[in-house]
Amino acid sequence: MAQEEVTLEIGTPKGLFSGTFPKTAKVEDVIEAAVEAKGIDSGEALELVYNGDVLQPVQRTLVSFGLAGTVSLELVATGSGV
Amino acid sequence: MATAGTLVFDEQFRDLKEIASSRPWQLDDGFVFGLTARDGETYWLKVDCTDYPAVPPAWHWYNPETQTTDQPADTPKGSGFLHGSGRICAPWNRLAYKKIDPQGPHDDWDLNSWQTNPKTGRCTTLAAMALRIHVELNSNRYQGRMR
Repeated sequence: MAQEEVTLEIGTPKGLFSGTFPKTAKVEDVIEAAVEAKGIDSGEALELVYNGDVLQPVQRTLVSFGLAGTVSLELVATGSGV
Repeated sequence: MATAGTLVFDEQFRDLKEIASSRPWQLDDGFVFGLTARDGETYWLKVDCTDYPAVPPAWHWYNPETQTTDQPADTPKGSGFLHGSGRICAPWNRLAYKKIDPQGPHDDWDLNSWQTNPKTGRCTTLAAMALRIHVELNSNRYQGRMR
C-alpha cells in the first residue's frame, strides 16, 4: 500500500520542527504549522526548501514535489542576503 | 552574571545545535561549523559572536587543518550572496561591512541597524543564518571553490 503520510524534519529559524503530514498537504499548510509550533513571527517572508530548491508555489502538495517517507527541509527567510 | 546578549546567544545556539544534530552538519561548542555543498565538498565556518546580537556574527570561511580563515581555497563562490569578495554578502554577516573588513562589499549599511536592514529579512537568528548558508551551498547558484 502506498504511504499516505510524509514525515518532515524542518530546520527553522527557531530550531527543529518535526511533523507528519498527509502527502496531499499543501506547502503553505506545512509552513503555517511550523511557524505556529515554533512561535516564529510570520510565515509571509519564509520559504520551504528541499535539496536547495524552493518549494513553490506554496499551494502545491507535498507529493507533487516527490516528497515521501522522512524528509529533511529548511525553512528560510526570504531575501535574506544579496 | 549572564548578560542579555549571552542569554540570546545561548538560546539561539541551542536551536542551531538541535538542527545540526538532525542532519550531517558538524558543529562544535567553539562555533566551528561544517556544511556539505551539493557537489559533496565540505566547507567550514568559524563564527565570532562577540557582542552578538548588538552586532551581527562574523562568519569566517575556515580551514580546520591550517586554522586559517578567509582563504580563497576554503571559500565557495557562485552568487551575489557567496560574493566574489570572499565574504558572505548579507547584513547579518559582520564581514560584509567594509568598515569592519576591507574586503567587505558594503560601506552603505549601518552595522548597528543590521536587524532592521531590509536585506536581513527575517534572518535574525543563528539558525536562520546557518540555514540560509546551507541552502545557498545546495542551490544551483553555487559553483565550487574560489580557487
